[in-house]
Amino acid sequence: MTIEEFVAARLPALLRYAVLLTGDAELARDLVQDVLARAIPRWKRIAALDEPYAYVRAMVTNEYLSLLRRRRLRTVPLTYEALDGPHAPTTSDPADRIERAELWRWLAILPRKQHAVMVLRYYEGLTDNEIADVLGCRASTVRSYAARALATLRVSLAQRATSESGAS
Amino acid sequence: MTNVDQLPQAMERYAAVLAPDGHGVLEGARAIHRRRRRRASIAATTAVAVLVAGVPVLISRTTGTSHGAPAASKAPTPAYRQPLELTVDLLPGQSAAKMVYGVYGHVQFITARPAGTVTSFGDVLVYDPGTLDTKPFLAGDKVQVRGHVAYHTTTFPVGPPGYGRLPTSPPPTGPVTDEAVGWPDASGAWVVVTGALNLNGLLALAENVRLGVSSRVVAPFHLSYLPPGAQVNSAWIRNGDPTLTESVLAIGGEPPATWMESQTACCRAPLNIRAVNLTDIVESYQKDTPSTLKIAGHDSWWYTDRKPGPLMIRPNGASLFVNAGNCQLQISVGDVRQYTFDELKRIVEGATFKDCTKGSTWVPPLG
Repeated sequence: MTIEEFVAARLPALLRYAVLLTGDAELARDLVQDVLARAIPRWKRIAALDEPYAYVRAMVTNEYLSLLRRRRLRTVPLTYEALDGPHAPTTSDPADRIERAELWRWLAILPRKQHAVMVLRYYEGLTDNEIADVLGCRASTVRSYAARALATLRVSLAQRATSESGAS
Repeated sequence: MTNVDQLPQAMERYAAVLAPDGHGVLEGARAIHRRRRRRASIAATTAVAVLVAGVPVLISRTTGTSHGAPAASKAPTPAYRQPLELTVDLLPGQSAAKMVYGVYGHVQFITARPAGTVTSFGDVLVYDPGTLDTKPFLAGDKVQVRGHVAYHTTTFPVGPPGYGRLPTSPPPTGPVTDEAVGWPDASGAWVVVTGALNLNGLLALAENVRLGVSSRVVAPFHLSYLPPGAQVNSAWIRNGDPTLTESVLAIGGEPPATWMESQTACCRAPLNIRAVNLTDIVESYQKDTPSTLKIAGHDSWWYTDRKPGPLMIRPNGASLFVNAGNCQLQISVGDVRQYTFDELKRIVEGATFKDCTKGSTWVPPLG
């Protein structure tokens, strides 16, 4: 498989994964581009792997984590108003926009590894062992990250439900 | 999303809507890879050069003899194009014609004028891979140019803050910007079309751009001598109309940073070499002062006096005018102590000239 064939087949998936990590389309694009630049010189070896996509996805994950190590990402929780700004993508359904804003607000407050675990588990559909391979940790650590992240989410959802019932 | 079970679907929808377009990502990655490889190569070359230079110094110190260190190897030139090479053109026989074209720094440019019945006009800029800040474009709207995705922005920076501002205007708040359409080429270069009346005008001109051709900047003169260290920072050529041709090499100093500054680069560079076709207007500058100077058999004039008039001699500057065939070569310097009369005379003595009114006879000015 040439890198052109790989990109033609897998680039959209990589970009979707990256945007879930970064919450920012431009940053996701830069991140994937940078990873591909590093993959180009070693493509022969990557293409010989059973799962080139898994390898490149792991590179994207590590790049995201090291990006955070190098400089703190400005992950601003988006509000409904911000999503409605001139450059924000819009859909015809405002409920969708509210949901995206909430999802990102929740993902953004998670510590970086918990964030990555959530995306790998619920978006990429990986098992805990596979996530452990990507992150270079034990499966029990992955389960711990996931449990803490889900607890945070449940608290957020409960708080929202309380505030909505209070408002009505 | 009301409970955790809905997380996968929420992520799916979020990613599908917010994921960026993948157009140009691989090309950009290749450009980054090339840049890194070049940097690594330069670093390796430098390391070798330092080592090579260091050995004779060490030997001379230990033996007490004095040897000149060998010159460091020249750094590899960028792979995309040579400094006076062009990779952009307009499609022949289309609605726009080249009025002016050239290069400045990492940018090639064409100013197009209407031709025929269609009124496409504007400026085409091509940035070498990795040299354009693409953020204004990527944040803009997507449009189509010849079946490919391009980006439309109204905030393309064309000049530094306050450029061209009247003294009475309010203080500048940012760079001068203009509407533009841009897209990445497979090579990693970015094409930017700007300077048209509106988006339709930009798109009409964009349809006429052809990239990937290779040609050289040409001029009605060829120079076999330039002062040591003199590097061309920009070239500006007008040869579409035989009644008014002009070609300028701006030499020395930093290349212009923006499109607007590039249009006056000739007037600021330490050494400018300009050729125009001899017309009544051009000759009128010298009609009252017959030449008393001959260089390589050509009537010549040497100006150091900053009298008001069209010559615009800079402080400490000077100009050497030479009539050769139907061309007038105008060499001007910002500081005559840096580029002396003898150096300029040597440039003229090593020059050959073509027909200034026939662009088809022009040749690469250097090399």
